[in-house]
Amino acid sequence: MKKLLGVTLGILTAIGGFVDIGDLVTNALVGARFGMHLAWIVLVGVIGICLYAEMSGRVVAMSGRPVFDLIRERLGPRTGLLALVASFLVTLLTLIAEIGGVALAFELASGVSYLLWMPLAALAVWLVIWRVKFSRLEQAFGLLGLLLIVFAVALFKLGPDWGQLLHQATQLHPIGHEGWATYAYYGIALFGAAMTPYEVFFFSSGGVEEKWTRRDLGTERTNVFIGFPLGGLLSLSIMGCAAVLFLPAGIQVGTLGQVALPVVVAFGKIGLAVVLIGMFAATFGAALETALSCGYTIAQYRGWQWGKFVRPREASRFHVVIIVCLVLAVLTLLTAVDPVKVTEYSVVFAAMALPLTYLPILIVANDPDYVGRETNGPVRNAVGLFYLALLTIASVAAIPLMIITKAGA
Amino acid sequence: MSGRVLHAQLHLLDRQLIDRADGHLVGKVDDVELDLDADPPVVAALISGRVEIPAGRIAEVESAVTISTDGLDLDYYDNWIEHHIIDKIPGAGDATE
Amino acid sequence: MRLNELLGHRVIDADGNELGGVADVRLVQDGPLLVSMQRALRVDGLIVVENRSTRLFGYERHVGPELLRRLVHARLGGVWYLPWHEVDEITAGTVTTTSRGNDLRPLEDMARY
Repeated sequence: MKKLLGVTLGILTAIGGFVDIGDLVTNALVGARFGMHLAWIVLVGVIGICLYAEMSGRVVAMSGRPVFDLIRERLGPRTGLLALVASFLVTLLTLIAEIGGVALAFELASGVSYLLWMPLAALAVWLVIWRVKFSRLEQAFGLLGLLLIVFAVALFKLGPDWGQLLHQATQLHPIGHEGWATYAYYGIALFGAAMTPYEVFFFSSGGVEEKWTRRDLGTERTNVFIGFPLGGLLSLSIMGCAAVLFLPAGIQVGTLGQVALPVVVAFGKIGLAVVLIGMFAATFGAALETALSCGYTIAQYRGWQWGKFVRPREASRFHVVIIVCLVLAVLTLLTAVDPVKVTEYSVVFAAMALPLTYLPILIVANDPDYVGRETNGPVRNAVGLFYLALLTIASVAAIPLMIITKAGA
Repeated sequence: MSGRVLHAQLHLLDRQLIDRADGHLVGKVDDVELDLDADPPVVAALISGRVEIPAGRIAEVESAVTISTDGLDLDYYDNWIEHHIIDKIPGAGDATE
Repeated sequence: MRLNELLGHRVIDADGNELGGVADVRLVQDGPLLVSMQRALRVDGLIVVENRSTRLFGYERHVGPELLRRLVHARLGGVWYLPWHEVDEITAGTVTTTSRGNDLRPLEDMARY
C-alpha cells in the first residue's frame, strides 16, 4: 500500500494528460470512428512522456529546479515569454474544460444542469488548493481516478473479438469513409494530449512540493514508469470499448454520457456509479493539476515564491494567479460554451508550446551543473531528439490540419 | 590561485534568486551590472526587477543564486498582494492539512 | 554597464574587420575580497560568436546530444574567447579589440573550471 501511495504523483499527472475531460471524449470518439487504428499513437505518446517526465523529475531531484525555471534560464526572457503565453493558454483552456467536466459529471449523476454545478466545482477546486496538503490531494484524486480501470474490465466483459482488435491496431491507416487528414488530425490530438506541457510542469513542481532530493531518484522513476503507462492503458481501454460497441453500429460519440455507455452495457447501474465517480475524480484531478500549473508556470517564469509547501500568505502572488484563473474559467463557462469543444482549441496553443517546453529539458538533463553524474546516456539522447523532431512536426502540422478538417468534423 | 570560472549569461542571467535566511524564492536575475572601469573589472551587482543586489550579497551561485536579502525590498509586490488580498481570506496564515 | 546591453555588441578587430557579436562574458572568481568574505567575480574576457546570436543554450560547454550541438554550432559559426586585456574600447554597439581575427583562441581550448 505504501508503495502505491508513493506513485500517486505520477498517476495524478498522467490522468490529467490521458483521461481528462477532453481526452475522455476524444478517446471514445476515436474508437468509434477509427476502431483501434490509432491506438499506436497512444503507445508512442506514453514512451515520449515517460522519457521527458523522467528527465524533468531527475533534474528536480538533483537540483531542485522545476521545468519553467529551466525554460526561462535556457530560452531567456523573450522566447521564454512566448513559451509562457502558449503553455499558459493551453493550461487555462484545459482548466476551463475540466471545471465544466466536473460539472458535467454531476449533471449526469443528478439531472441538474451543469451550469449550476459549475461555480460549485470551481469553488471546490479552490478550497482543495487553499487548504489541503499536496500529498493528500495527490493520493485522493490519483487513487479515485484509477476507478476508470472499470473501462478495461468492461472491455473484457463485452467479450470482443481480440484478434480483430489486434488486427485493427496493426493497420496504421484510416478506415471507411475517413480520410488521411482526419486520421492525422486525431493522431496529433492524441499525441499532443499524451505529451501536453502541463504534465511536466505539474510533475516537476510536484517533485519540489514533495521535497525530492537525489535519494528520491528511485521514487521519481517508479512514478514515471507506473503512472504514465497506467494513463495510457486507461486511454486505450476507453478507445477499445468504443471500438467494440460504437464502431460496428456506426454511432458517433460527442458527449460524456456516451463515453460512459459501454460500462453501463457491461455492468448496469453499479458500473454507471463506478464510472461516474471515476470521471469525477479524473476531471477534478485534472482541474487541480491545471489550476496549480497555471500558478506554477507564471510564478516560476517571474521567480515568485510558489507552492503548497509554504503557507498561502507566503506565496500570495501564486495563489492570486490561481484564483484569477478559476474566476476566468467560471466566467467563460457561463457563456454556455461546450466544455468538450474548449479543449480542441487548446491544440493550437499546444502546437507552439510543445517544442519550447521540451528542448530546455533535454539540454539541462545533459548538464552536469544540474544533474551531476546522472546525465542522459546516448540512447536517451537519441530517443529524446527523435521525439523533439516528432513534436516539431506535430506542432507545424496541427493548425493546418485543424483548418482543413474543420477540427476533425 | 585560479578561481572558479562562470559565464555571466549562462550561470547568472535568468537564474532563480533564493533568500539565504529562509530559503524563500525572491525573484529572477533580470540583468547583471558590470563595473568595467574598475581595476580589475568586476560584477558589481545583480538586478532583479527594480532592485539592485550588490555583489557582496551573493552567497552562492549554483543552479540557483542564493543571496542575503537584509534591507533589500524584494518582496514589495508580494507583500502588497498579501496585505490587500490574501490576508483577507480565512486560513491564509495556516499550513495546509 | 549592464550585461543585457553588452550582449550582442559587434566586435571589430584592429584591422576594422567585424569578427562577430558578444555572446557571453567569462568570469573568474578571483577578484578583490568582498564583504561576504568571498572573491569578486572578475571579468576575464568576452565570448564572441561569428554569426550574431546572443543565446548559446549553454552549448559552449560541450554537453548534450551531439546532433543538437552540431546544429547549434552550425548556426553560430566560430566561437572565440577574447581576453579582456585585448579589449580596446567599448562604444555604443561595438567593441574594438587590439587583436586580429585569426589570433583569437577558439573557446573549446579554454579550461572550463
